[in-house]
Amino acid sequence: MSNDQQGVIVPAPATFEEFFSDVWPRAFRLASLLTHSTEAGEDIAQDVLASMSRRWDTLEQPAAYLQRSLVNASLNWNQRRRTAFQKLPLLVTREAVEFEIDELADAIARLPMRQRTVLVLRYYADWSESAIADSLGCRPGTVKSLASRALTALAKEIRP
Amino acid sequence: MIDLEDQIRIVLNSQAEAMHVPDAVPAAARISMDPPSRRRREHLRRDGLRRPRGMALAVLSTVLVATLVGGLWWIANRPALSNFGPLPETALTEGVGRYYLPTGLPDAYRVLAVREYAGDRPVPTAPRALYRDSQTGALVDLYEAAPADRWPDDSAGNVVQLPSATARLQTLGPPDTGSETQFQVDFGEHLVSGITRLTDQAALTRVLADVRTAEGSAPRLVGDGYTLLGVQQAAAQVAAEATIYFGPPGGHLGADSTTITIRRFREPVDVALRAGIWDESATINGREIQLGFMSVHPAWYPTPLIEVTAQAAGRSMAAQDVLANLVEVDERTFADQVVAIEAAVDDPVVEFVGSTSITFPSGIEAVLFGVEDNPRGICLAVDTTRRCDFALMTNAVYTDDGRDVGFFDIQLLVDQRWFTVGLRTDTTTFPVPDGSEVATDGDRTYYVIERPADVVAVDDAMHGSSPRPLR
Repeated sequence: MSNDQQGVIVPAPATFEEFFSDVWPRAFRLASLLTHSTEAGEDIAQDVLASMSRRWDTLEQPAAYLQRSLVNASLNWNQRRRTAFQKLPLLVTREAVEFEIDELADAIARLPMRQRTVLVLRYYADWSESAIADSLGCRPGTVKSLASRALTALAKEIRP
Repeated sequence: MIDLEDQIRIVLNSQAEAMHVPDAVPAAARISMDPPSRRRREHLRRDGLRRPRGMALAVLSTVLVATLVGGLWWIANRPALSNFGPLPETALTEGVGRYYLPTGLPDAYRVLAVREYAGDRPVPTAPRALYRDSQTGALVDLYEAAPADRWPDDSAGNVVQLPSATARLQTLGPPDTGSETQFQVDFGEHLVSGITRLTDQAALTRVLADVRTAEGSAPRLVGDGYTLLGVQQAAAQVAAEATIYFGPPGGHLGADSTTITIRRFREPVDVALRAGIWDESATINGREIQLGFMSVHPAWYPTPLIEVTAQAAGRSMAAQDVLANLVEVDERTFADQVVAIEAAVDDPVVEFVGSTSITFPSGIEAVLFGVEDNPRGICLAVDTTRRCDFALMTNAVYTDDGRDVGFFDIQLLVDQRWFTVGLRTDTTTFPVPDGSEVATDGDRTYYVIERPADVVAVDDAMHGSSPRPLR
């Protein structure tokens, strides 16, 4: 993956403070999209980064560790159902995108967590299938399958 | 025409861009201490005098947070207010005494689970004082904290040196939904903790400089311009609590659910004090609803002894509207709802994919119902009676990789006998209770035990409780 992706890939930082400053907005946004909750996203991003700060000297690949931790923590959060679903605000107008954006956003939110995670990592963070598979702990073929099922479900929902 | 994949990109990026990203600077300062997560804030609000006790408390909190969200803090032994009228006499064994069911929820919603607890352990808490600052109108909640709760020296985002004390404070929460500032004023032998919605540094410094300790009672704010709204003198008590989960059977509780929690206190509560710094209310349907912590966990007090809180997620109605449309039902109607939970096995909205059956040596059978790899519910069959809980997610803790349930404890009332059925994947850290029946499946250890007080007792200052056969 390249550094211009919207995941949390960054060059190796010298200090944790530099790392934190660089990754915080993206970590927050990614966790928020994965959980569909800005509150949960903030909590998860802070928890993960706080955990990393305590282990900073032992982390060889902090960016990769952060990615995987965010995904795992988000999956954990979602499965625990500890925080209420919150619909995120949308800025894009319907006229600009030729479709019912609320409908699509809602449909994405209703997807099973692993399917939604694949979509967020693929279409927001621009991760490769192998990177997604690594984060989810599954085979790339499973990522393909999850993405396919998600797209099929979305197409069915927004184009009945 | 934009294809579906591009539409998804636009939606996700629009959502991301629309997010208000909390300032990284204070967050960076805060992460050197315990993560200042919302869970931590809830803990502080709920349990300010006690220090977290590691993983065990974290796991137990998982159980409790589902029923305690709302940032409730405790009001204790306050003298009965004159407008409360005579108090109803209700024995502990009668449970919460009043039962409510929502109206107007989506058609697919059913009762998914009922969890009941009886609060049977007094809990010592410090006296708390609630003041109003006339200059800003802000409420300030103060209590004397235990020395063990003193924040580490290197943890504070902001340190204010006062003439006779050192204050540390941190403002939490996104500005768009409301912030709160937690603080500690360290006098050496005494430590005063507090919380306020003030965020302005100058105003905060002024208030902190006016904090004084008072031996044996709640801390004070001295000087003109402060109004004491009330003091909670001692431990408040929850006599009984029932939490009812509603949602589409098999569905995602995080996306579609409504939860109602009914608490009965031993003594009447002062609603204003209980609302604390989040003092906002709305009259809906003729009922005064306290909007609560960040306006997302409202509460309704049909009597001074009864508190009803609601949470709503996804497509169900807003939580305050749920409260405004509750109907009271008798205990028999409520009990019928509990029995009906089992019907969800055969009538899920989202089909259960996969199930795991565990048979214990005595013949008791537990069946986990899942959707893909996420179990959603459990049924326990004892002799010829079966009872189910389809809100397993609110209780479960997942394995480190996030892909499977690794821990849960569910209490079910089967034929007037309470059973706890649970799962452990780390029996070293979290052993099964003595006397349990055990069945293993690889590294997964399932157990069942009838009413083990040492297991079901919840190590929490507010609840300290065990389930009782309330119905």
